[in-house]
Amino acid sequence: MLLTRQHLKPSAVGLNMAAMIDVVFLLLIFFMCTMSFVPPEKKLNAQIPRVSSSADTPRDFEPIRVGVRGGEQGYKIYCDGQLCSTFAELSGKLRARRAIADIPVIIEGQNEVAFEYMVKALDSCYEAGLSQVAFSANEAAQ
Amino acid sequence: MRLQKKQHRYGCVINIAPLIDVVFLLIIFFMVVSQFTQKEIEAVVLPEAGQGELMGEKVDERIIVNVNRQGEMIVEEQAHSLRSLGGLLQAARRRSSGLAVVIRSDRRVHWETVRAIMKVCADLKLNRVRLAVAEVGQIEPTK
Repeated sequence: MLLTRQHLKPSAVGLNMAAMIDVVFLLLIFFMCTMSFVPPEKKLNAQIPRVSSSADTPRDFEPIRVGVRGGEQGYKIYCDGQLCSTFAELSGKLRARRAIADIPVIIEGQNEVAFEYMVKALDSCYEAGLSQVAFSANEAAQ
Repeated sequence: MRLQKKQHRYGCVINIAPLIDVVFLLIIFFMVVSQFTQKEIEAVVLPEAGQGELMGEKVDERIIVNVNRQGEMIVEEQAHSLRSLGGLLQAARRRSSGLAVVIRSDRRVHWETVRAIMKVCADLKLNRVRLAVAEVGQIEPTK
């Protein structure tokens, strides 16, 4: 009598477990799949310096001015007034400056420029190895 | 004799209990995480950049500002104007001193919109501003 009771009890539980584990594993796999579809995001550090701090602190180097001008149709990139045809060219120019020192960079953009191109300009600066990059608080001149 | 055979068949019951513990823990983890990320993140097409670093901020030390295709600023599913965003950031800064602001902007948004947000951050002396980017060549959802 004691023997039958002991062996019947766990077997009854085990029978329910199988179906439950099926469902639970299905849920687990579902959540794991949906999670992996979200692409991992990265970040870029970005600064707009406050007006008061940028004016009176003495600098070793005059900052490089990178300008992105344009609108919906296209964009033009300027590096200290010189026109660059691609972001790769901008990066090359900046890398030449990086060989001198870690010169600060100020990126100016016109209002209608797509955010994408401003990020590309910032990315080019970091790619060239320059670390003191900031966005200008004002719109780039025509 | 028949009884002994039964015992052999369900001998695995002892191993299943901790297995279910672990699996449930994983399920709850994934459910919580997916719900949490959905609340903060809007569906936007991020710009691509090769020099991006991995997000390292703790959840309670950062605030995510989404800017969608229409240029609307959305924080935790709520649309904000520049002024209300300023108030929100100020309140958040009081909670944690080293607050980081993550700007998740659509790639086609005009620069003036993002610059205005960054200006608000600069005025509040928040100097940990991050731009969310996607890795180059990543498959993006078309929206």
